[in-house]
Parts: sequence; C-alpha cells; structure tokens
Amino acid sequence: MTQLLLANLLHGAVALTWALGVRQWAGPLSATLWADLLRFCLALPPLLAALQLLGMAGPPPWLHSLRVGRWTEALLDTGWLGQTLVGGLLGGTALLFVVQEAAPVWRLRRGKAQATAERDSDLAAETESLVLRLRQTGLAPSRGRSPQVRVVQTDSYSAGLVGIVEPTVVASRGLLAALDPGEREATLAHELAHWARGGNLRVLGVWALRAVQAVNPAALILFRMMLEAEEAACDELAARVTGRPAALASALLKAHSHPDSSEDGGAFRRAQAEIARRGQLASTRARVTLLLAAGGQAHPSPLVLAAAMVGLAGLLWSIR
Amino acid sequence: MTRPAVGAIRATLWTAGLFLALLGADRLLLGADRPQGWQQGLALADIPAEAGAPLEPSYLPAALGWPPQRIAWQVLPQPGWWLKLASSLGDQAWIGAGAAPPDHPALSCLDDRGCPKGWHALSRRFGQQTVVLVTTLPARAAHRMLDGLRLSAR
Repeated sequence: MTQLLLANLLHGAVALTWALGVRQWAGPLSATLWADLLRFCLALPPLLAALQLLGMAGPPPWLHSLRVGRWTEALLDTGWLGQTLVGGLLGGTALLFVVQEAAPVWRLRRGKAQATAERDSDLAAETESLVLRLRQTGLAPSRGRSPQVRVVQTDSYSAGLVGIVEPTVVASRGLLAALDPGEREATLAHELAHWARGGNLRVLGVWALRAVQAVNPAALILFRMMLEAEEAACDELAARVTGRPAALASALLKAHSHPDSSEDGGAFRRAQAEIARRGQLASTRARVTLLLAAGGQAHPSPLVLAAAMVGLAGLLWSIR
Repeated sequence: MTRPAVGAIRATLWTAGLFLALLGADRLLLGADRPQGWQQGLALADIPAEAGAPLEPSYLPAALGWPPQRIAWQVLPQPGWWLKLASSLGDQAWIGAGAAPPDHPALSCLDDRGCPKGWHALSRRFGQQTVVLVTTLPARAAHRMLDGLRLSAR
C-alpha cells in the first residue's frame, strides 16, 4: 500500500515537472494542447497504478528511472520525523481537496436548485448557429443533442454550462444586459466550447481522477492548473469560431470585474468574497492577455498530443 | 525547420533529459541495483538491510567458532541471509532467515521432507523475521544458542 501511494506521488511529481518543462522548452503551446497535456498528466498516474495492479510488466530493472521499492524503504528508514512530515503533507493536501474541491461542488448543487431559468428564443437561435459552426469546423461532436440555453433571472453576472445528460448553457439576465451583441455571442461560444470539449461529463471524470489522488500534492497542482487551462482552451476555441477574440476579452473583463451583489453576511464573508473576486480578476487578466496574444491559434494536431503522451507514458512507466 | 518541429525536438530532448536526471539522482542517492541471487559476504556488515537483519550468538558451544565460516545473503528474488558456523571437530550450525541457499546441507529441514540424519532445526521469531538454527549440535546446546541470539551491531 505504501509503495503504491509513493508510486502515485512520484508519478504525479514527475508528470508535473515534465509538463512544466515541455511548456518552458517547447512552447509557446496552444491553450488547447496545454489543457489536454495537463489532463493526461492527471490521468496517467492512476491509470499506470491500475495497470501495475493488473500485472502489467515493467521495463528491465536497469531502465527503472526511480525505484519505488527502494524509495519506500528509504522513506521508512527516515523514522518518525520523516514519516510525520510526509504524512502531514499528504493529510494537508487531502484537507485542501475537501475544502477547495469537494465542498464547493456540494454548495454549487444546493445553489443550483434554488435558481429559476427561462427560455429565450433569440439566445436559442444564436446558440444553434454557433453549434452548427462548431460542428462544421469539426470542433464539436457531429452527433448527439445540442445544448439548450436558459436565462437565469438574477442581476448577478454569471454564465456556465450545466447538466451532463442534457447540457444547458445558463446565463444570468444581469450579464446578458451588460454585454453588447458581439460580447454576448463570444460568451455563448465560450460556454459551448466547454460542451464541445466534453462538457460536464469530462469535468466529472477529471474530478474523479483528482478525487482518487486526493492526498497527492502534484495532483492538486495539476488539477488547479488544468481548470485554468481548460478555460483558456475554451477561450481559444470560442475566438476561433467567432473570429473575434477582442469581443470575448471584453466580455470576460466585464463579467469578472463586476462585484457580486448577492454576497451578503458579515464583514468576514464580504472580505472573503472580495479576495476571491480579486483572485478571479487577476486570473481573467491573464486569460485576456493570452487570448489577445494568441488570436485564433491553429488547433493542435492529434498526432502532437499522441506523441507527447507516448513520451510521458514511457517516462512514468520507467518509475517502478 | 518549422516552429512545431523545433518544439517537438525540444520536447523530446527534455523528456530524455528528465529521464536521465531521474535515473542519475536515483542511482546517486540509493546506490546501484542489488544483484539477483545468492551473494557471498566477508563480514556481517556486507548483508544489506533488504536481505534481513542478521543475528549473532551471545553463547557458542566450544565446538563452533566465530566469525562465521560463510556468510550468504540474497535480496532478489526472495530476501534471506544465512551464516555457517563450523569447527574442525565436525559439528555444524547454520543460522539464518528467509529463503535458504540451494547448497545448504540441511535444506530439507526447511520444507516437508524433514532433516537429514543427525541434523535438527529450531526456530524463533525475532521482530519481523523468523530465525532458524539448523545444526548437528545436541538439542540442549542448540536451544541455548538460539535463546542467546541477538541483533548484530554490524
């Protein structure tokens, strides 16, 4: 068990180092490729552990880049101090998972049940047109149900894709009122890009991969980076479909610089919301910079992604 | 050369470099791979921790000598260590734990076949390992020797 856990920690750390190195040395990468690489970095460690448990043969011993058995012994030899430090790190990471990633999902589910959403025929037509363009360019699945669109009757600024079986783009009345037609189309295109990239089913899958590695600090970092990269990838896709990255950049800045009026409660809660808002704004500025710099980058070839994955899988396979 | 091609070459070099760096750090910090099969040692200190923790007797009958005449250890495929104590008078004793070397004179003592004539085996648990004494010594002396075993300071 200890060896399996240590193997996962080493796989995660090496995958993270590898991904950062690839971005540093082989970059600049398109946001889509970067998001896909991070997703594979998160998926490969548990996949390799499962294959190992099923008896998949490893490379010959001289090719083992990290010998997990020897590292496990070295860790156990460090005595209570070393083991307590490692245990504290893993426990802290698990706690962060609960606070940052499990609890918000629960809160989101509760909040969603309270919202009321209505159909809007103009938005529905605009959505259909965008879905058609995504399908024509091969960027979205050509079959299956198209997402619906609903307007949430609230003054706050928000938009998102909800639902797994019946994906629905929801946008708040407040946000739609603040956007001009170009920005509105770009926002819809961004949310539809989430659907085109696998939607909430894929998000659920990635979240499950993170959950099975809840104690792994590298998985925590990879997951946070992947969430940001996924947004940037959808920005890239939306910019390519609409051909107007500036409109999306403007919509993003409008949406995320608006203070959330629904946040009430004590001073502590308001301060917490303000800190979160400023963090979000900083992240949005980075997305906007990337979006405007990249324009509509070419979609990465699946061969590039496959080659990168073979390289990473080989590297991780050598850790036995 | 196009930019994607340069990127691909750089990514390949980075992957290979990272592999070599990991390999180098692993071998530097943890040493070379343990050899497969039985190895001979000159002193108890030669037995690696992965093979087990060797014990040394605090009591030895006059018929046996110390240090051991032969020290054998193995990490892979099965960990184990054995010490052969002997004297010119003819009595013999093997102290060890884990897998036994194939040329062990009383190997059958450790399986269902039973000991050869004149040999007998005693065992006792010491921490994580079960230590076996296979010997031609009289039972009383063998028991006393087994009871007096202690962890080697190495």
